[in-house]
Parts: sequence; structure tokens; C-alpha cells
Amino acid sequence: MLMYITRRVLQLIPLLLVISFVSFGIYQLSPGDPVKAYAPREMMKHPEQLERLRRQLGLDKPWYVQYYRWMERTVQGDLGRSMITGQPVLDRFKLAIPNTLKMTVTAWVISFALAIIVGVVSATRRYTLVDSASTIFSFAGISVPSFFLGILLMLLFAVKLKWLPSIGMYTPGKEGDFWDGVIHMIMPVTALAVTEIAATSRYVRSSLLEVLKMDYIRTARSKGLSERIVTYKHALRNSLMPVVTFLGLNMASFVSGALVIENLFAWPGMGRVTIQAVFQQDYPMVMAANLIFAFLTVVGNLIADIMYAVVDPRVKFS
Amino acid sequence: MATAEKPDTQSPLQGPAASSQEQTWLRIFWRRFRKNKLAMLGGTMLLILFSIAIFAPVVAPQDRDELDLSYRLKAPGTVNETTGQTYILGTDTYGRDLLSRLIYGSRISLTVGFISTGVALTMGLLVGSAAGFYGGWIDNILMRIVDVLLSIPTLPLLLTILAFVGNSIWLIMFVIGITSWMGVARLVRGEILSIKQRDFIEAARAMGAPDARIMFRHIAPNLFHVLIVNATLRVATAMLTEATLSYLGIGVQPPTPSWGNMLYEHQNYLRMAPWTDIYPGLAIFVSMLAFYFLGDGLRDALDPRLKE
Repeated sequence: MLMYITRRVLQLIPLLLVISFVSFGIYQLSPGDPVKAYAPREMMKHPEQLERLRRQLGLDKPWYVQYYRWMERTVQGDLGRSMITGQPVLDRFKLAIPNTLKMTVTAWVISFALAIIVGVVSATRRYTLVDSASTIFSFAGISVPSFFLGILLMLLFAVKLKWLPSIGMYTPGKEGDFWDGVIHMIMPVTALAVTEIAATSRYVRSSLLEVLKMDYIRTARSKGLSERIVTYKHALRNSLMPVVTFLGLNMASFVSGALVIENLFAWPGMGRVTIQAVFQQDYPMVMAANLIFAFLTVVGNLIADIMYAVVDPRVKFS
Repeated sequence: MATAEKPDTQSPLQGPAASSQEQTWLRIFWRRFRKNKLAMLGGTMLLILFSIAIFAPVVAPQDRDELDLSYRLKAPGTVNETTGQTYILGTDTYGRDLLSRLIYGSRISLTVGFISTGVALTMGLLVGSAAGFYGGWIDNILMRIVDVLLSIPTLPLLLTILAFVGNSIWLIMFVIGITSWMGVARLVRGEILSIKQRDFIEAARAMGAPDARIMFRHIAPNLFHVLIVNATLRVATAMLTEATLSYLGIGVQPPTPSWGNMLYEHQNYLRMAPWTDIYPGLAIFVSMLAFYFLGDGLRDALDPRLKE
């Protein structure tokens, strides 16, 4: 087991290398001059000062030398400084990452649980009213953009009914209060989870229907076991195995979803920091954001893989 | 395949065999498709949407950029007293007719949807068929690359590209395409691998058919049904990606209207003028729904394994 995890972790290295290379490549392709963007305005009139700055920043070197130096620092945990605030990049993200995780992990867990319930209910009551309702729900759920759903929720629950606070993580002055935090999470988490529930519940449904056709299910039924035991004890467990993989792959869409939803609900997470950095063309921040987003996705996939290995006894660890 | 289920009334000996086979295939497809109410609904909705996009200058009550600053953020149904014009869906923050902008916005959405899907399909087909057809180390390398690219979160990457390289509409379509071909490649590879196992490929090989002939004559037609379904759903996803990017303010830039950037322009007017946010959002939602209905119906109607 430990070997298996180690091997999977080692496989992440080429992936992170590719991502770093891609995001570095984009920077090289960009038409702007980073020195001019970085330099204070009055320096523009003095080309020799600009050149000195360029040398200080190491931007006069060929791209592979720059890449190597950047990687060297990154591996040591130094992601550079923000070009706008001069703060170390990691300091900005250190505050934001837990906030993003709080929202995405909650949405992930809730969508997994609800998707299983919806999927099982519609598979066991196939072609009934409940099943049709869940089909309609899933069509609507995959079609509605998360930000539009968020806007609708905001209009209804914050503007019209005034039941829920529209933005932020806490009411000012109540930071850290548990219930206040929960209330602020309801809308963003719902907006983030609905699409995933819609897609995953379909997947659970078809996977369960597939398993229910298997021979061993017929055997279990002919033994005289009740339908309840057959479904929940024999069929459900096996049908959930592929779903676990699906959830791992979904981590990427949760991460992207968080980017959008944080923007809408003014949630002080990674997404907000990233969008701001993108608008300010703050290159070190954007590059770090790409790395962190990729890292989170990859860790999500890894957790799903390990979960899969735990659930499925057929997976060999060697 | 499908022809075996219902023999054509015409004898296969009469007339060109291929065309009569094609007709039967189309007829079976249409019969199945027609029965699916949701798919027909989706198809109809899309026909309307396409017509609106093509005939935008005729359909739109006003020019998309014509503004009247004394009529900013007016509610749906407001009548402009100087021109006598009714703003059916209200006006936006510059006093432009919201309906007209929505109508022109459909052009952007559909163009981005189709062109970036074209890019993704082309790349996916090339990589997937190379991997599936040749197998061995080529397959191994290509699929490892696909694996790696699939686990890169696309949205931050797209934001980075558009922020630093530029955000022209062509670049947007291109980058949405090149960040979404991996699924196509996997699909094509898988299909080819399974088709390659079948007897008729073996027979073609035994008769000495060259690679290119096997590929285009024997494999390609069998890929069609999975690709068409995938492409339909992919157009919807690409439209959503464009809308998301534009909603974040990084995609299509105003004054060119896109459903996404209309939401971006009005994100602060949610309380004052909710219609400026609701209608563009609804436009995205309804057209995505139409594509999903159609895609689902196509999948059922084209699946050769399903018997009637």
C-alpha cells in the first residue's frame, strides 16, 4: 500500500514539470515587456536604468536559464514576490488556500453524498415519476452555468427574501463564528455542487443499473434475499467503484468552479486572488496560482486513486 | 449493422447498394430520433437559435450598439418616448436595447462553440487515430501526454493565456479548442482499438488493403456516430467556457456583446436591474439545455447496439 502511494506520488513529478513549463511558456509568448511593467514610471525615461533592472531581475538571460532559475527557487518553496504589492507570493496564497478548500471540500462531499442518493433512488425506481424528475433535474443541472445559478440564488435568497447574506465568508465582526460561517456558505456551496450532483447522479444511476443486470445479482435474488439487501448490500458497493474515479476527475472542475463562484460571492479564496492577479498582469502571482491549482487537482486525483484502491480489492498494490 | 434489422424493400441487387444502405440507415435514425420528445425539442430550439444568429440584423429590433443614455437600466417593456421604440427586455447600463444585444450575442456564442469544437475534434482525431491505429510505443507516448494534459485545470490556464498573450476572439476560440481535445483523442483511440478487433478489418487486411484505405474506408465511417454525439455536447461545453471567461471579464471584450460579458458588465446591477443579469444567463442556460437534449437523443438514435 505504502509502495503504491509512493509510486503514485512520484508519478506527479512529470505532471507538475509540464504545468510549470506550460505556464512559463505562456509568459515567454506574451508580447509585453515585463521590465517595463515592473519598473516605476519615472524610470521609463532612462533606458540604462531599465537595462540595469533587467539584469538584476535576470531577464536578460535566455529563457532556459530563466526557467531553470525559477524552478530552482520554486522547488525550495520560494515562488517570488508579487509585482504589485511586493509581498511574497506564498503569503498571499497562504491565507486564501484554506478558504478555497473549505468551500470546495464541503461542496465535494455534499455532491458525492447527494449524487449517490439521487442516483440510487432513480435507478431503483426506474421509469417512475421520481426517475423522470431526477432526469429533468440532471438536464437542468448540467446546463445551468454555476455563476448563473449563483446569481439566481442571490436574487432570491439575499435580495428578495433577505434570508441569507449575499457575499463574504463572515459578517464583519463575527469572524470565526461557526454558524455565521455556515450561513455564508450555503449559496456558494449550492451553486458549486448542483452541476456535479446532476452529472454524478446520472453516472451512479447507469452504473447501478449495469450492476443490477449481473449474474450474481440474479443469484442473490433467487436465494430469496429481499430487494433491499440485494440493492444496498450486493449491488450498490460494486456500482460505486467507477464513481470514485469519476469524483477524482471532477476535482479539476471543482477547482475551476471555485474560481468563478468566489468571484461572484466575494469569497476571499484562491479564485479571487487569481482573478485579481490576472487583471493586474501580476506574473509571479498568476504563475504560482497555476501551480497551486494544478497541485490541488492532482492531489484530488491522488486521493481518488487511493480511495479506489481501498474500495476495489482487485487493485494490486505492487 | 443497422441494415440487418430491417431489410430494405428494394433488393440489394437493384441500384447502387451503398446509397440504398445509407437511406435505410438515415431512415432508422430518423424514426428513432423522432420518437424522442426531448431530442426533438432540443433540435427545434437549436434551429430557432441558429436562425436568430444568422438573421440577427433582421430580427433585432435595434442596432446592438445604439445607445440612449437617458434610458439607462430601464425595466422590460419601457417605451422610448423620442423614438417610440419599446425595450422588450429592458435596457442595459448604457441604455442599449438588451434584446438586441442578446440576439447579437448568440452569434459569438455559437461561433465560439463551433469553431473551438472544430479545433478540438481535429486535434483529437489526429492524436487519437494515430494512437489507436498504430498502437505500441506511439500509443503509449501519446496517451501519457493526454493523461498529463487532462489533469491540468483548464480555467486558470485559459485565464493566463488570455491575460498575457491577448484576448482576441480568434485566440479565444483557438485556446478553448486546444485545451479540450484530449477527451476526443481518448474516445477515438478507444473506438479504433475496438473496431480493429473486428473481422471485417481482418478481412480487408487479408485482401491487401493499404493502411490509408483501412483507415478511411473501413474505420472512419464507424467512428461517425460516437463523434457526432461527442461534438454536440462539446459545443455546449465550449459555449459555457466562453461564457465563463467573458463573465470573468477576460474573454470577449465589450462592446462586442457576448452573453458572458453582458453578465460581467452588469454584475453590480443585480439589485437595481436584475433583468440585465437574468436574461443573458437564461440565454446561456436554454441553449446549453438544447444542445444536451439533442446530444442525448442523438446518442440513443445512433447507438447500433440498441434494438428498436
